[in-house]
Amino acid sequence: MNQPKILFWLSLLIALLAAVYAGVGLFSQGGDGPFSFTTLRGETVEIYGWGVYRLDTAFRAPIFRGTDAVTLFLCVPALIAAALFARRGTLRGRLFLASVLAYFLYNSASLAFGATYNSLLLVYIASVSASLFAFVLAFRSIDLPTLAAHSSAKLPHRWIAVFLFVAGLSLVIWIVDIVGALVEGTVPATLGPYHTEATYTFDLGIILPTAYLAGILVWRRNPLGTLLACITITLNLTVGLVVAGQTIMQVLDGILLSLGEYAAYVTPFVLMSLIAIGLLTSIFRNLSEPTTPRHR
Amino acid sequence: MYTNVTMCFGAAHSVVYVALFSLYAFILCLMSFDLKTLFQDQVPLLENVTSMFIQVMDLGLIVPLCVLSGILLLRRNAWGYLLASVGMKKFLTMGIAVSLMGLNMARVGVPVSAVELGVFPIIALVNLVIVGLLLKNIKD
Repeated sequence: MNQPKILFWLSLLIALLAAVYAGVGLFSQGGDGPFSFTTLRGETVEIYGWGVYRLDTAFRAPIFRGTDAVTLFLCVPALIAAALFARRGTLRGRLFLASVLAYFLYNSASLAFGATYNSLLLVYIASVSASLFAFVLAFRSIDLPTLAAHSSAKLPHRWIAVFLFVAGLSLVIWIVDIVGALVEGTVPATLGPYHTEATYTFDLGIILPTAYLAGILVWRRNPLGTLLACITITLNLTVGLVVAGQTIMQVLDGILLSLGEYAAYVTPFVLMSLIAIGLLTSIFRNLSEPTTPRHR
Repeated sequence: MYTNVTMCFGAAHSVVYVALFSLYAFILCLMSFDLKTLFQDQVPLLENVTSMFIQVMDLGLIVPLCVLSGILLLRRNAWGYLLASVGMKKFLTMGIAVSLMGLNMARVGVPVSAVELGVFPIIALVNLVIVGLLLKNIKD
């Protein structure tokens, strides 16, 4: 089986796995309801008590369920569409597929590392694995000289770079959480009973440097910058949708944050998501297709 | 393992051995996961952590990497040599680290099975031989 075929079937497998874990996460019920729990650090936290996330905190379970709603109703159809577009061998299709796969890698890894152990672990692991290998295949399927040759001079390189720098900067909020806790000799406020915070690692260790690398490269009109920018901006768009979904689910579950917390943790991501839509449209409109679509 | 170590001493067969090693890696990774707990609505031994991050990395990354590098290596694909080299060195360092971890656990009185104390030093030693053969057979 050649690489485009493997990529296509892997993408469909990821869509299926994601539909399973997001569907179960969103609709599963059962359990004894909320209860209080004293963490190793002596804090008392409320545990959600319902469904597959019944052992996650009452703060974090609605976050997972909000993400699941976005994954199931928006991202899974987007992945299937991207796989079908990419199958035609078009440059835009492959770029779209690599970008959407980045979301599934981020999402399934966040659940595998971040959610309290539950019966979906093997599904998360399968999805992480398939997403990682599919992402590598999709990334490698894009020929950088071809991408450079078919990018219009009208592509707003500097606006994209500035957006990426600002998007990267927005993740510094996690450093504030960590350093604040270190200074006070405590742990970040939302850590609860979890042994660590996977989001800090992914966002600060991978997304932030990638955003800055993409920004610098796209400023210099390097085609690798365009590729990384497309992936990072798509991730930014989905993160905005996910944060909106998480917030709605939290409100439905009676979790209300302060206005300051909404301003710090919700508004920037949603606003960035709206700008990301405009930039992605611009990137795709300023790409032309090679006369004969090719597979690598 | 013994059979494949013997096979390693011929350069061509060392490639086959490394490919077969992926099978051992697969079995070892699965050994770290108690599957029946998933189907009986039980929780595996988590102690104080909330998720099984080692199993995520082993089953999600290492196992497919081993299988993929084994297949590519058998086909003499360049990626197979690169991935196998990375995989073998990962298992070499893991073998040494887990061996020392087991010894240290035994030293401070934590129960460690004799199998664990025996298997991982063997993995480290076998890997040492294979990595040596792999590097010896790569020309600059």
